[in-house]
Amino acid sequence: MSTALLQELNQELRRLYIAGSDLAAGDFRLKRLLPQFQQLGERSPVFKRLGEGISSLVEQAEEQGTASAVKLQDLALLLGSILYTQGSTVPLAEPGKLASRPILLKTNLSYRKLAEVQQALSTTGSGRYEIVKDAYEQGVFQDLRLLPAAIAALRDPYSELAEFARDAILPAYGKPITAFLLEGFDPSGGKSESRKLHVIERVSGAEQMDFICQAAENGSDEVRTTAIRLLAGYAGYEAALLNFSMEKKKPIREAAFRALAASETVQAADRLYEAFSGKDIELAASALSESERLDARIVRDFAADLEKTPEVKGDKKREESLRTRLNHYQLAVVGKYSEGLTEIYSSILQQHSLYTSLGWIELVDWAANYIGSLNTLEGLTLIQQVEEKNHRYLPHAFQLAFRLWSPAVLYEQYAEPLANQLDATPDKGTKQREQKLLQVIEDLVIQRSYQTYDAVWRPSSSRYYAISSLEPVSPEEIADCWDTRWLRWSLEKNKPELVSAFARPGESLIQKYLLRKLNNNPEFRNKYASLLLMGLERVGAELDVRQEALMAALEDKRNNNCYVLDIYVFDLLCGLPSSFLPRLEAVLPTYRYEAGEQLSYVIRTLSQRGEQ
Amino acid sequence: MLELTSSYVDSLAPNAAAIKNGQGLVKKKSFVELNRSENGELLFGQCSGSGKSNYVCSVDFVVPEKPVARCTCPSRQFPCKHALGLMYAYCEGLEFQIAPVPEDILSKREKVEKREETKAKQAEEGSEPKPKKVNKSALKKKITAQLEGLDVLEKLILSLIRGGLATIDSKTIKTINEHVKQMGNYYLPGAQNELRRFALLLSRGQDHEESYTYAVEQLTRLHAFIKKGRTYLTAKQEDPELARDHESTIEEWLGHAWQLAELKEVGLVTEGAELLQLAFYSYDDAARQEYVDLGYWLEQATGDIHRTVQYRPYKAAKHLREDDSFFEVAQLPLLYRYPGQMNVRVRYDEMLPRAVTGADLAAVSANAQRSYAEALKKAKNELKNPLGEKNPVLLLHAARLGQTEGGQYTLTDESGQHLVLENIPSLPQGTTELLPYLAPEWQEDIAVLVMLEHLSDQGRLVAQPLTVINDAGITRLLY
Repeated sequence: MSTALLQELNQELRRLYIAGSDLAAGDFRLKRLLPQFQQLGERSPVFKRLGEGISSLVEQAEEQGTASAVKLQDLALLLGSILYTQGSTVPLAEPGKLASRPILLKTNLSYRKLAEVQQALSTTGSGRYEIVKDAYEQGVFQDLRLLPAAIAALRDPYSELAEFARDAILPAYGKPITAFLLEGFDPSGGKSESRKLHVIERVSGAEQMDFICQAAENGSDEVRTTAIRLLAGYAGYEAALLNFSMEKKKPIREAAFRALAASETVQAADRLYEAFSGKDIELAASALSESERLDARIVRDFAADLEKTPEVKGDKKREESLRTRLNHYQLAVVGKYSEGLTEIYSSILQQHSLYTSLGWIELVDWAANYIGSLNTLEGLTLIQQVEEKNHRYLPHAFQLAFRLWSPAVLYEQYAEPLANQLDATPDKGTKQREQKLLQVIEDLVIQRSYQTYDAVWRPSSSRYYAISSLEPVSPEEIADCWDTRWLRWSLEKNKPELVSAFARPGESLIQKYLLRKLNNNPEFRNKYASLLLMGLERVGAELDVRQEALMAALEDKRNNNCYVLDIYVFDLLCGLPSSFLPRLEAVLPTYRYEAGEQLSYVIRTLSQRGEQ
Repeated sequence: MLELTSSYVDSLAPNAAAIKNGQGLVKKKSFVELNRSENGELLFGQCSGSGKSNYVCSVDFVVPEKPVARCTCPSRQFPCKHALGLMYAYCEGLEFQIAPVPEDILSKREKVEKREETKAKQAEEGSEPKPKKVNKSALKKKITAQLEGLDVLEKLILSLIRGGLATIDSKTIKTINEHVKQMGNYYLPGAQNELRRFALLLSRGQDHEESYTYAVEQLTRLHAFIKKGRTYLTAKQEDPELARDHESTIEEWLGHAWQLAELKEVGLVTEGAELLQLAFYSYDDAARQEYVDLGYWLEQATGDIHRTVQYRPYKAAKHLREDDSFFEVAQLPLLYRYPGQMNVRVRYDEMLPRAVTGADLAAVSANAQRSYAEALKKAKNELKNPLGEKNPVLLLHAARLGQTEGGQYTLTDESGQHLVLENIPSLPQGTTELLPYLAPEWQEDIAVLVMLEHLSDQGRLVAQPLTVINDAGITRLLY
């Protein structure tokens, strides 16, 4: 049977469907096909019927109403049925053996388990990460049918998901996964390909280093930099790394420096030192910060360069270049400790006026931070000398003194002289000093946190909710580390948040003070109102006093745009007796958003408790 | 002692979320009381919920093949997460206190027993429930309306063809959609679906060339449907008994939903059948506005591949149980078959699962068709019927799997005939990319369940492998 001819007729009929069957009458293309069908029709009844169909379609008179459409439908139906029996099942070439790479995975999970994950990995939208993570934890990815989806996840537009695939899902398949990653690897690709390299290195290590080295040489910048970083620590590839460190492209050199920093050899160290001495100083500095190889040399040069400072003073250009260089030294040694460094930083503090006059304040800051973190009395003396000249370093000195001195000495050294000075002639400097002191104390006794809570007032689908909050350190810590006189001092300074933190039972004056403050500042929008309530608890105020204070604050007209209530406040609300219900219900309308939800929840719980 | 596995509990759950929620209750220790009856037939307990009082739930295994879950929660899902959680807690080996069976459960059991008794009595007395009386004049009226509807449909179709598909714009689509609504009034839900499918093909936009090919096919299918439907309805109108045709699928096309009793009446039942599911999948049928859960099963005695179909209308999807893959052999007291030729739809209302044995796997292999020429001839016969199944599913024996140099996958029978394996457009998920992962023993002398599709623009008939079976087990490539 002539399938080609049938297909040709099929195309012509399709054309008529699109153009409209009214145009079929006298259609010359159909007419041209007709003789062949008639000829074949002499032998085959099927072709005969098709021929008849064609001729009745083209030979009809125009303007016959729906007849053309009916004829077209009849003919197409017949042709369609014939074509369905002609479908070819023959492959294009003789098949050979299946190129197989067996992997031992099962296929015993059900549709509902698989489809959810497949959908999560093939669509976009929220909630996908949780589905995939849950599935991974339940071992769902050990089903063969998720393997293609797992590999494809490296391309996921949501990078956290792609990284989860890189760090967890794919490595879990172990070495066999390498073959599948190699097969589809495209060196000219982007992030997804570089993630493949990560997985390959992780599961196959040294075995695949030749391949990774190739990728480091030929590939997109993304692939090359990743591959170069992965070569770190493989001795056989150091020569290649040294070459890469000479490349023209900056990202390539950067990657090479980082990889070399992990090496143990003299050549690698020399190359890094060379780079650090030349125009690649910035790249080399950040690479060196992760390694200790060159520390001795760097510190030596650091000290030497530092000594040049007085020389260059006055020459703007040289000043600037030395400053940049010193910054890079700092970058290379950040987070490291050595005797040499202690000497360098001590000398900076001793000569702080020189550096301050040059405007190199960041250098003094580093020195103060470094020396402060050593926790030594010598260090404290040094910083205090600087502090006397510059209030900027009061926090450094105070924090260090807090760690080294007894609470009483700390109070006497810091609170009393200040009070005396203030009594005498409060000038601008003394005021500033006081501000700094209050700030550093607050930083030490009040913790800011951003925590996720199980938000019971929410529907179960979105229960976890992050709230930022302020909370004083524990009363025990206050008692251990702080002199009792700080409470009076804070009261005199009129700092209610510090008073709340230092508050201790038995001070009725303090209780009155806090209640008055709460009355003046009842807004839950800023966190101080809840801090005051915590202070009341510390001072030992009776529960009913605190509950009444809380309720009064809630009822205050100034509390009209609170977004969310602190967990402390929320817990306190939940503990209210049900007699508060009418008052709570009355204020509910003024609270919206999360706070509204929280209040409704409180009202619900209270009323349920009331009924039981 | 009651034996429960979590996979069995999974299979009772209405959907994946219910599984998660049920397990979540156990994890969160929401159950305040876990009890079981002395003989272990009943699990019951209390679970705290968002309300002020606890939910009291129970699962009754007094009839093991039909566990009954009860709960005081207002959920419309059945079984609810509390009942599922109760069972998961049992699976995980949590401690269940032995307690007497509660009063209300006893009385409920009694009622069920009584109902069974009366049923049994009726069966004994031979007083089968009387066949429903058919209101013939109403049926006649319905047939007249259906015929009228076919006329309306034909008029629309023909006018569309006269004007040509290229002239169809959003206004015409609107007219078509109005007709879709009208078809409902003419008792032609089948026509409604197919016409909506046509409208969807054209309103999908973008690739006109491809959608035209499908649209033309859909037009000829509607044409065949109108012709056959009209002939059938006219004949039925003249038949004094107004009997339904229970051999072809025309009744289903017209929109009749067969009831089990009707199928039994016309003898489309098999007693004591055993089915083994070989493949399953689910898809969203926008034309029907329903989710469709499809299972393909081998009936071991006959070697036929049957189909279970569950439709879940969008509007009710939340409250219906999603079907899922089934890994055991289903033993059915009564198997109901729908009319049709190939891959006929089947249903059952009682089932007892049993584990798959080596004999079951051997039966699969014995039932696999060994000559592709013969198998494909039958399949093509089905394909050429305009109202037939367009994606027949066959169980074929393969001497081996192969691959051409161009990368085409093939299946070869014992006489050396090949069949090209390809992912077909009708299935939501590809499977051929998994073939190279199969171990060597899964590549030769195997049974393969395939779904066929005729690619009319290429004039080719290709098959997508769904499942591979050998003596050692079943590897599902789809689901």
